[in-house]
Amino acid sequence: MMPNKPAAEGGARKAPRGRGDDKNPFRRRGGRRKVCRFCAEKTLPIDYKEYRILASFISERGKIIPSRITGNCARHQRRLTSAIKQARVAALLPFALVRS
Amino acid sequence: MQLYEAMIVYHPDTGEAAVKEALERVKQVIAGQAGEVTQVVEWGLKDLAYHIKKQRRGYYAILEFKGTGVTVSELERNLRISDRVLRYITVQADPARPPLEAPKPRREPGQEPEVELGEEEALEDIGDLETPELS
Repeated sequence: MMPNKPAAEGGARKAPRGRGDDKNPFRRRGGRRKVCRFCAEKTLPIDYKEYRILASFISERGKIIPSRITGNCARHQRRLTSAIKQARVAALLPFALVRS
Repeated sequence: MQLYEAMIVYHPDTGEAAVKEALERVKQVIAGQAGEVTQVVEWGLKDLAYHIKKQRRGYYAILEFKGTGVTVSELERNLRISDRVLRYITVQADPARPPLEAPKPRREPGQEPEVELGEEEALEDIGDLETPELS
């Protein structure tokens, strides 16, 4: 669940421990561990037609929310991403939204 | 023979009758390719998430059918030709789930759909990721 930190690669930063790709390296590991919603509730369908469920995984701008925030497991995140992309083609979900 | 599902979005100005006709033709195309249509569900008019050919709404229909890859190509080829078809997407169907009836209509066009499981916390977190990109 924790992301790979650049410190593990060559060219490590000496920044304090924190999530590697944050803008603010001073932030601690935080937040409760989220569970994958689809693992928890196996009947929840991941399908492009279920755009209402899929919609809870896109941001205000219509972007797909990363699993490190939603807590989805890799397997479900992959399927979710495909479903969202399919739904976008079908105009059930937007490709992008402009913040007014 | 694989189980497929094709969602077709027709131009909203196409009358119900014309859509029925179009769907009949689609069924014939499938049958002509040794395919077998198993289910047809019409969602009817629905708001689109973005403009397509300047339209904000579209007539949605889903066809479930069995066929081969050739069946699918031929179907898509036909859909491409038609002027009344705004979008289509053909997908391999999971035998598990039945196509749904149209979801309840929303009040305003272009509004975020109501979600069953709130994800506000995720949206707040996103604040970071949304740092200005040149759009």
